[in-house]
Amino acid sequence: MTLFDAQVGARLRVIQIAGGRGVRARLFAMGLNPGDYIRIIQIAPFRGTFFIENLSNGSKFAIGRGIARKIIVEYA
Amino acid sequence: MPEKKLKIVLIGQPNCGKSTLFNHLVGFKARISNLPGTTVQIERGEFKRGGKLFEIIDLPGIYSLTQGDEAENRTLKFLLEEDYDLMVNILDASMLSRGLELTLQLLKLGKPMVLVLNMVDEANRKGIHIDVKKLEKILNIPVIPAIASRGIGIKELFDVIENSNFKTSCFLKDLPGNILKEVQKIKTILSECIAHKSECTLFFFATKILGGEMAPWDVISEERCLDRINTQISESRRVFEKEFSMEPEDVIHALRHHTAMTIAEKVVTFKRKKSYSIDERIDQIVMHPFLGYIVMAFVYLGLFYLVFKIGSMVEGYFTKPFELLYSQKTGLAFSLWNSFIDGLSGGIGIVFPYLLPLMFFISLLEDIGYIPRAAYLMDTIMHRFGLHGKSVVPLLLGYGCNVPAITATRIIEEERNRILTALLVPFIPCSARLTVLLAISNKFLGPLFAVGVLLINLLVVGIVGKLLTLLKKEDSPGIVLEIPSYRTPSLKITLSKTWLHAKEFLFIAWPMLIAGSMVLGAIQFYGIEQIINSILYPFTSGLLGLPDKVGVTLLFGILRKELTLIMLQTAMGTPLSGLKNVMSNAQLATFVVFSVFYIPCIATLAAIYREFNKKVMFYSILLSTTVATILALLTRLLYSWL
Repeated sequence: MTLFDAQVGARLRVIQIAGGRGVRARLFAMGLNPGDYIRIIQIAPFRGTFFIENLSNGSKFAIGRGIARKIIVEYA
Repeated sequence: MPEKKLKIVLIGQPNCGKSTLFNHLVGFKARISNLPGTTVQIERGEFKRGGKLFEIIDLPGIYSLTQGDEAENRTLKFLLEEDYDLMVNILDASMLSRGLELTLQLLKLGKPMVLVLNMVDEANRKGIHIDVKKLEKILNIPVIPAIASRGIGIKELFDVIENSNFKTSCFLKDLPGNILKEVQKIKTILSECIAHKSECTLFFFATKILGGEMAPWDVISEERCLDRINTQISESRRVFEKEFSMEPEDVIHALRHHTAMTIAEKVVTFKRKKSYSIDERIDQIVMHPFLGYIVMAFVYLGLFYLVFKIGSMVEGYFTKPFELLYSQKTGLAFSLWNSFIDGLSGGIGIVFPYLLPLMFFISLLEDIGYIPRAAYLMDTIMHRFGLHGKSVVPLLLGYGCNVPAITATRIIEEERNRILTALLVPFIPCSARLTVLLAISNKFLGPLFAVGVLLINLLVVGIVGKLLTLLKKEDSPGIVLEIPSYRTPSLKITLSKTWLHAKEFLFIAWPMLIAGSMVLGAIQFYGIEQIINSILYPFTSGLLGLPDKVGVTLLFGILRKELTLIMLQTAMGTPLSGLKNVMSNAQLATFVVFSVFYIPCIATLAAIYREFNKKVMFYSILLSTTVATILALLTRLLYSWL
């Protein structure tokens, strides 16, 4: 499943980041890597932006919906 | 004998406290903010220590040495091409493992390096304790724990710098044997083709080339070499494909990530302290899907209300004394003198009541960490306009001054979004234009008019944005923006940033303002303004219904928007309070609306030209003038209808 379809608040594990080199390199460098545990803190209203936390180091990100569709996760 | 300057570069990930450290080293000159990617320009400073002169260079904050946005490309180019003696890598200790990934890349540049573990207090609060000695041993470079905001660790850093206790460590442990072998092969070819580069740098190039992040022709030009390299690359890529069934860049990245994590695990002991949730509690309101927008509206309007309130309260105290200086005599000299006083008092009437408070509050919002949160909230809305939340950052800065706002578009990765944002920035009224709006609203049209113009302004930015997007369609994958922790702002730092903005106005804008005012005085004295006014008459009076005298004002307003109000007074031959005797409310409103939206000032145009090209600059002129004319016409119609 992708982050886009995951439940808000659930503990998730990043399996893979699909998508172009640009997107992947950006997420990697900002500290979102396969194997990391993350959770969706909230999703902005009206099909809005994702606000997520990387539970491995406490860093937080705003992530667009398009990007959320490229992050493949599983419940952990 | 001239002294040899030692060149030191500061490098680190966004929000690691790099600029704070820079300030401590060179004095309070750099800009600090809790806003990822603020230092998009390379800043330099100098300091003397123990009789030696040091030059210090603050590079933009970057997450990694891969090519990405403008800031990353610039930093990488600088690190590879410029000459320097020491790299000071600053790392947010509370994000050790992520920071180390950049550190591992930097170590491969083969330059002397020092690691500063900044914000150890925040790390401790999170329960993270780092064994510094152990980390030094693993990385083989000096590691200094620090809390830059409180000046802790600065002395130790100075000691290392002063003693030239520099160490180079070419860290290759993150590459296991089979990969190292392939990198080695490419490196061997490189070493035959490139002169004057250290072994370590060649390794760095080889890894980048293998990872596809760098093209071979970036570093070598000889055709024979290129052929050999390309053959080797395809061969090595096949090996990767077979052994890992992954792209080389993913393999190299995964290994680096793994190494960074392993190092972090080795040096960190976790002591769970009290839960770290102040941020979360604040964010429950500030980032709330509904309350968050209310908070944002309050912050936004509160910002202007406060500035408006403070400004109108104190303005009189600053400008009153100048009224005594006006000369009643006639003649060119006296006319020039009066224009000079106009410029002088006009500048003071902007700086102290409006510009300083506005800059102070925007700086405060940046330092606290609110702006990225606003960017998150706005992303949903901006996405409808084909832009994303990151555009909020330059747009908000635009309320201070459009010039740094244009520069700040560099944090946007996609060129298309950068250009669109830059075209929208001039629609944001900068403090100079705000003073025109605020002062005239304050005196004649009432605060509601100002609020209305500000809200309509946002609407216009939205509509123009949407139209531009329709013209240049492209689906951006969306925002990726770090939301940093809240930080307690330091008054010293916020004030120094406020001063930095104000300084630009005082030393660049104000003299121009006074000169412009005097030029206008001379034009008026010789009656030339009537010629200009009559040329512009069909537009100013015919179309917009303004007094024909404002033609010169609008024309010269392009030089500096903050001139507008003073020139209006000069042109109409009356102090601010007397404007209502010569212009109706409808005319004042039309004038304000037109000045808020039309052609950005010369400095902004130059910034657009510098960042993009002539075409974008002309688009900006055309777009803003068209929009300003339409809106001014609407205002005129609205007032005649009321």
